[in-house]
Amino acid sequence: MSQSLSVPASQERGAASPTAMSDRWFSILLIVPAMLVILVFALLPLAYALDVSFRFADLTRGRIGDFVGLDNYRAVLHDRAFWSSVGVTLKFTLTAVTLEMVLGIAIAFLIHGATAGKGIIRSLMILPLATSAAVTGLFWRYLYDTQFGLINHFLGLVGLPEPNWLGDYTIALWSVILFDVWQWTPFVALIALAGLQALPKEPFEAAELDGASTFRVLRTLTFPMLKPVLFLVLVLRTIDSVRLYDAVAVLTRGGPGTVTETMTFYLYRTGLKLFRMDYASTMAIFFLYAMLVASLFALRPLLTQFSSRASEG
Amino acid sequence: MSFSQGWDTGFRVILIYVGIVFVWLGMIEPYFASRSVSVIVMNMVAVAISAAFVVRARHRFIAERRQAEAEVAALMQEDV
Amino acid sequence: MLQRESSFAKEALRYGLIVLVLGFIVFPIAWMIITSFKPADAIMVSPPRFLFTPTLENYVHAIYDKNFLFYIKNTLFISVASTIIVVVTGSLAAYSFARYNVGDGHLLFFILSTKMFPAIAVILPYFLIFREVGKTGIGSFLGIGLDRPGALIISYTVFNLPFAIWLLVSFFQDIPRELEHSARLDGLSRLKVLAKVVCPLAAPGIAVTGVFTLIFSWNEFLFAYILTRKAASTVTVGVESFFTLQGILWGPVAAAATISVLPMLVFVLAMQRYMVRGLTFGAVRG
Repeated sequence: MSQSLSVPASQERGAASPTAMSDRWFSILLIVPAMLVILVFALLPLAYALDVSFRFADLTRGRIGDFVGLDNYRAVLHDRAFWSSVGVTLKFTLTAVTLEMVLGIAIAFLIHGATAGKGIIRSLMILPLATSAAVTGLFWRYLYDTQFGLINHFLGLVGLPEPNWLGDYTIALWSVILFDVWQWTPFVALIALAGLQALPKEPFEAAELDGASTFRVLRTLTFPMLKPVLFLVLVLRTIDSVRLYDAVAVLTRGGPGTVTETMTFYLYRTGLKLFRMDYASTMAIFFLYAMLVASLFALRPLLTQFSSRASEG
Repeated sequence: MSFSQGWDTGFRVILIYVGIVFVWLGMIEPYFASRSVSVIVMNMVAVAISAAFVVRARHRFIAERRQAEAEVAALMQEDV
Repeated sequence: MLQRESSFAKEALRYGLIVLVLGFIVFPIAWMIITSFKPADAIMVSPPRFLFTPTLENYVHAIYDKNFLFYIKNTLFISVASTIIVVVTGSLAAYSFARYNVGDGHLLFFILSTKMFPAIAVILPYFLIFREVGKTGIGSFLGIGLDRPGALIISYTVFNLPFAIWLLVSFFQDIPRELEHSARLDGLSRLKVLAKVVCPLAAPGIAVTGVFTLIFSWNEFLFAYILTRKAASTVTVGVESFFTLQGILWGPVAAAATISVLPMLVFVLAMQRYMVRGLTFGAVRG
């Protein structure tokens, strides 16, 4: 894959200093700082969390306590609230990501067909991506407000019912989803659009000459060629959605009740509000495990494909 | 097995082992009267399945290698 | 003739839909900026008021009464510091991955999989560790500990490094090898080749990566929320401090939110061309 940058030994000796090192040592030396950062500040804390997950650790009673074996795992695996937070997370991920993918792809096609103004359209689409979910999400509370909110004002004008967006048990999760869709649909659309614009022209011209129907072109040409890009977006969005915290924290704080309590939020509440660090660490390990399995099956093959294509090109 | 295949297999084995532990504690252990028996059986099952996975992976790598060697040999023959 | 009419209708429909979509996308941000200029008596009213005399009182309140610039200063310091560390260590590693393929791809994937870690799984141990480190002399000397900037600089460095390495690898791969090769033949050492030949060529890519890292650090909330209280809080947490016992002060919130969002909007618009590439870790070169 990578050809060496070594020069023949005779020239090397004449040119470089006497302490010239081999390619191998040079390349290892370069990655040392980054690897140190990751090992010390990412892996060590995880090892610590793993350690805590095997101990009794109630912070209200002081320090990290005794070794308790797999008891925390038993407790967490039989904890209803934990599974309900898993359920909320899955429900959120499934709906939000589906909506974002469908809408995003539709918008990409819409813009791709436009003749003028693509530049300005794209600039406007980028805006939500630049903002922090914690900041704009907070402001969405004002939009959702039952009394002063603009959304209900407009709904009222058209004569539609005016729901209690963040306070109603059946609606709160949908309000969080709507916010997420607002922020991340442009992301899907932008990348799908980039994929559409990178498609080669020839097969489509040939299909047009053959008189293939639009639907047939889409099904046999466009989507198969777009598939890698779309799948990548799907995976990236899923990974982000599963970790959802910011939007929940500023919009609903997990409520009403626990209907919008995602995994990250429940972990935060267990560890830093109820101070049961042992349960929280156990859940963190569980969460980490799920993400590693997912990254092995989804992300790895996908990015290999992209990066090998890039290095060929 | 090359280093790269070993790395990959090792990572997967860890994931499989941990996965078995999770499933066991969550779903199977309640059927055991004694916890220590359950943990022992669990580890035995996990070791057995992980070992089976390693053996299978090894076989696959060897087969792949043989096939690749055969292909190279066939190409050499053609050249001659 | 008929065909032309129908295609005109189609175009009109297309642009109508696009305007609708853009309206939905831009509106919340626009409304936030509009609200930030509203006088207090035009904010908490029903129905919402669209016409009003603009005022700067919300900005005055946010900056003077709530001391919002303090959060801006913190955020700037923390994100710039972590961006510098990320860009320097990331560039070295990415160059090594792009040219020498260290670790045969496995190491690169290992680095990427740290990006998949759920942040909360790292934050809980961070909380425990920083709490202890903060009590020690070294901790207070280096500014590491709960509610100290060092804690966030470390967090953001760790969480942006994998992304930066992936993006940088894609930029380094774009640089033709021949230049480095001939520079080597001219007798430059590897380090000099990297510093004098590769870095200038990779500068745009490094800059793009830096700006992305800066944006991510600036907008980060979870780490900042858990690891800081007040002294080292960043803007995303600062906006939260506008919750008062009397309720949320929407005018000052809008003003503070606008102040904190605006620099990033400018950055992102300047970086448009690289958005797709950055957001996909360099996989899609839009």
